[in-house]
Amino acid sequence: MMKSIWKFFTSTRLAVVLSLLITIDVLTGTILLSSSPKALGAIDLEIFFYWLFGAGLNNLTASWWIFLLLILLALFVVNTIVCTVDSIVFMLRPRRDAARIKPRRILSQAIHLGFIIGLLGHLVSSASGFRTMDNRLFEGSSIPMPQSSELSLRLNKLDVAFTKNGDMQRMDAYLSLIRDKRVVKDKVVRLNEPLLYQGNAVYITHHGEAPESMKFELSGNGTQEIIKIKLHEKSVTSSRGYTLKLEGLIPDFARDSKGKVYSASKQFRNPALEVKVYKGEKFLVTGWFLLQYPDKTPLAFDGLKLVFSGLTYRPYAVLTINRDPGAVIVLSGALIFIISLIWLLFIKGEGMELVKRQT
Amino acid sequence: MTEIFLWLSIAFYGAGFISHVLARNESRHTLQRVSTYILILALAFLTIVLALRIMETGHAPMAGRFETLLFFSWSIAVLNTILLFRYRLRTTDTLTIPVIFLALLLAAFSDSGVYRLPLVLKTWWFEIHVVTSFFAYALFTLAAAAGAFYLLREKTGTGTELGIYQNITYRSILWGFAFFSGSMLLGAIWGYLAWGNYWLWESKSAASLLLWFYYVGVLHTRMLKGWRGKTVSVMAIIGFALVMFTYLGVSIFLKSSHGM
Repeated sequence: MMKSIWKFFTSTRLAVVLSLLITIDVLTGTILLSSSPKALGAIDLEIFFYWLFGAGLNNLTASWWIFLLLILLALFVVNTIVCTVDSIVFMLRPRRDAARIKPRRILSQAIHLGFIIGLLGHLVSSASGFRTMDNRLFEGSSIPMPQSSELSLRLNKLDVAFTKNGDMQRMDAYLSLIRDKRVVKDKVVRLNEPLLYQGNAVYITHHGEAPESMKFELSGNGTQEIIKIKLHEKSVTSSRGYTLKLEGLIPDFARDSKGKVYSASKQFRNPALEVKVYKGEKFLVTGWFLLQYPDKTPLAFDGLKLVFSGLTYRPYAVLTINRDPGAVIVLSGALIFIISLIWLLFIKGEGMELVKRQT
Repeated sequence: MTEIFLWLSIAFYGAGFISHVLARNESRHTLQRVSTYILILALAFLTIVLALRIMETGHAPMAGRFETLLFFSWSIAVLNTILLFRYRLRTTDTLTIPVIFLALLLAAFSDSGVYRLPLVLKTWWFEIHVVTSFFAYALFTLAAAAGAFYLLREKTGTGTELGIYQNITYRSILWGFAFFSGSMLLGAIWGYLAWGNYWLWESKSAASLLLWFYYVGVLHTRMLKGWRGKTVSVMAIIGFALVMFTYLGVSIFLKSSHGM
């Protein structure tokens, strides 16, 4: 029984049949990947097996071919292992003519070995590590590295440049990896140049700017002052002792017939901000700033003019942070595979020829 | 300028094909020589087109359908030239030149606008990934051409002639497979450095996987007695159809985030 199973799996015919079945299965999968973006679009966003046994099982009409692929691949791997073991046993068997073990035979098995190691690595990748996307890191601030209590990541500077045509020229994130308040690695992360550290990999995917504070201009009596109030704060005091208190924000400013302010809708068509100004404890003035028409709604007091002059923005980088313990194994397997294959092509003068030369 | 040389190349490949077919009668040595010169000139024009395109865009001609069709044609043409000068073989030209001609014609009617490469494509990983994959496609095309000739001459050809066709089919597939495996490895490294994934579950990558497994099967077929010759030739021709599906079919008929 065992012998016949072994014999079945040593068959080259089985390898051919399985290869062709995998081809047909993946051909169907190629079409399904394109036609079922809702069902299959999220595969790459998480660890493969978590997706497969979660969303994959719930969308079998689109994902059945992946399950079939796993079964076929498992059979193919068994076929490859059995063939390789069979061949190695044959090569190690004592024989009179040692020259019978040809390098071609050894290299063929090395190719098999590379394939098995590569697939093993892919198995590790499919079941372990982590993937986190859309990590927003503001310039000058830090975030903890995922699944690490010791490491944190700081964005020192974000350098983004565009050409005159609006094409992106540069997107450089100057990152520092910190452990116990000490920098363990500095790296300028760009597209195609991630930060790699102890199995962790940090990628920049895009960038942006988020509003950070509101800016007011206080001018008059020959002076000018810029007052900034952070979005999460309710008041700020200027260097000249004027305190600005934010009373409220309405999305669509309007006044009724009695002059009472109300919001005409819930949409931000005409946003307005109510500000009260104090000098110490003394109330001076209140008014509404129409944010879309900043310089048309100034507040006047003490011979000064207060104008809302827009928002200030803070740049941020959007990072993907991954750990893929299988990637190195996949790379090792693939390198063994490729090097053995190329070696096989060059092993004899004949091997590298496209056509066998007639002697 | 690029367009002029492209149309010159198309015209010369057309003329080269006609003269090659007319010169198949071995006694017509002069016509054979003329056909060879025409095809060499056609390759020279195509090389100029590629060089002009590189100067125009500032990057290797591998972005978009127009550029990849040029490079695909050029790869096959270079292989034809190797066969001609190293092995004195021109039979497969009868099938590979029409492929070059049609690919160039398709390129001529494709969008040839100059677009800046996105930042993520500005890496030599991308360039060698594409170069190796197109050389693999060219080798698989040559294998299919030799396979087709094996089938056409199976009944009437001599043993030596059929042996040469079988040989070209097998060795082209072996070389093509090496290039294609290299291309997949380079693409995987690039993917890991660019997005953190060495493998993406999207149409083009899946099509590449199916092509890889298909040729694994074809290479193992040669080890089976009774499956050589006709079976391998038929499989090489089906392989060419799969190459076309992977290269053009996916980007024309399916949705893929991979590009060309």
